[in-house]
Amino acid sequence: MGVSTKKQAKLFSEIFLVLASLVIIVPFYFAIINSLKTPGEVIELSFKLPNKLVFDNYVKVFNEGNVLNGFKNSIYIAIPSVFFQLLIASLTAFILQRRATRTSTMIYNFVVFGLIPSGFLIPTVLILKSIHLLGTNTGLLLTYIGGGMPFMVLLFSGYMKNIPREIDESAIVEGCSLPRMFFTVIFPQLLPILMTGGIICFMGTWNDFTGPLYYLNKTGKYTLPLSVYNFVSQYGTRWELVYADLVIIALPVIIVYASVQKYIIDGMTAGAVKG
Amino acid sequence: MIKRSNANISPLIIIYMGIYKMKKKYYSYIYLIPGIGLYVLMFLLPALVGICLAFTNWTSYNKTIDFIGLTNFNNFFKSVIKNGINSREGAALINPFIIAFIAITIQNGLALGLALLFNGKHRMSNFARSAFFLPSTLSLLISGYSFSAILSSGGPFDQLLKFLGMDWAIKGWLTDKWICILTVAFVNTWIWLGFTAAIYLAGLKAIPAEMYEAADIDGAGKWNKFKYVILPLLGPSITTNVILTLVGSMKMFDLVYIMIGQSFDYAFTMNTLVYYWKNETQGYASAISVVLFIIVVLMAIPILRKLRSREVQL
Repeated sequence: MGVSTKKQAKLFSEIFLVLASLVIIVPFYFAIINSLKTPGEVIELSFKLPNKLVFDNYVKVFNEGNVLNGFKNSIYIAIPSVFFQLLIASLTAFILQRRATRTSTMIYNFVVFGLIPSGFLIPTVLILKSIHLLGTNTGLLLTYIGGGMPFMVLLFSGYMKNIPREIDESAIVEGCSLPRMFFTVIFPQLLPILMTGGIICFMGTWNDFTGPLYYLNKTGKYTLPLSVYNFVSQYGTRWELVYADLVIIALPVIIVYASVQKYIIDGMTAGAVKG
Repeated sequence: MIKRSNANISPLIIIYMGIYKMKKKYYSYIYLIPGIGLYVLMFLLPALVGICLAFTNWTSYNKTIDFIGLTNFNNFFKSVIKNGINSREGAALINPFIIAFIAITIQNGLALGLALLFNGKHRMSNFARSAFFLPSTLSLLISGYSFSAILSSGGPFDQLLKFLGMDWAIKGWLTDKWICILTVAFVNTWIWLGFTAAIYLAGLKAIPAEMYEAADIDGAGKWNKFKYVILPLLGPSITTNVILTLVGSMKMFDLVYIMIGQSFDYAFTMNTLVYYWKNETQGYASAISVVLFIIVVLMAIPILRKLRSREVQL
């Protein structure tokens, strides 16, 4: 009595899934074990386990890497970025989707088209300079909001198609002004997609380092991803500190991800990004 | 002769027009000002300024900025034509295509396979799905630096190959001028595989079960089901993923910069070349941006059209 081929195939798939999952996490395993090695051990850059867990590396990173400052700057940028992107993009998507005239469809296409070309970074630097916002958090924030519009509007529009207009109309009949209607009636309906959008915004902003690289010029204002450069130099890179720093940068995202990953997948399944 | 009473029609028209007017006034364009305003400011305006800059000779050393017509573009393409792919410009031009090709074929193919696996009722599906999605949520710094170390000369990967007796397969993963681009493409696939698979999975879940049952009734095996049920109905997801991977690869800067860009001795992509010149010859760098922009638009729009047309409506 052997196991039927169908069961064999299923078992094989399960094993494959587990193995593949472990393989995909290999780089992070590498980063974690190397973050706990002594400088002498880490030179090898291997998969060998550390002789002793050197948690001191993390302490060093905190002290030398300006990590607390970077962390503060990252939070300082990420929270407004998420908040304003969600607010502005949802309102914009709502108007464009509900209004449904030829002009509004044109504007919608124009916004979503922005997904395709890459942002022109040098001119943006110039524009920010001319309004005295280069090197400020506000300037960086504006680039995030403006740059996030295409994807966010696409995300929200798709979702709003499924919110029946009767809800709007019942509020209109009761004499609601649009802002009030939007926030009291529509917003609660948007919660799932707001979560998905918010998470994507957060991760994009938190992990981004091209933006701060181009638009922030004082190291005091650097966000967390750029703190890695404190340990990388031509005179010798202190890998154990680099990896410790990378793990520190990754931790908040992992925590956020672990708690809300259900919403990301659900949001995508709800038809937002399907196409 | 039955005469249609006007009394029946006009109230309808009045109500319809009323709703139309109300719609326009209610969903007023005023609320678009923050969103579209910032989009114009941070996106359209830089694009226009960039296009203008591309025609100037602005550098960090000039005191004046002069209009020099197509000189920047001439220089760029002259270098491409003269030295081909051995010049910086030529390499920068072709490398994004290499990355894009790998992303569109291998990444999408693997992701689709993964999505099919995740869609099957396996106990480990959710766990695997989360694990695969993880790399795309973390900063690509961590993947980039880890792989830089793993794939370094004599590093863990080379040691593994030696251990398996495959010495001949060891190459300069990050040092050879062309292999390093493949390496970057590989790491890029590694990072985004889960994300692409998640989009396919969402599309798969939208296929109603009746479709599979109908196919069963028609006697379709697994392969035919895939070809005639899944592929057509997955149209929108395929469109989204192909466009995202295409555009993302052509524009790639971060990963290239981290893994091979820091010494700037060899491989460039268009955007790392822009970064290379951005502090000195801004006019030239802007021209490179414009060339990239035109290429991406010229590629994306026909592909988008073609993909949209093959999307099957349920």
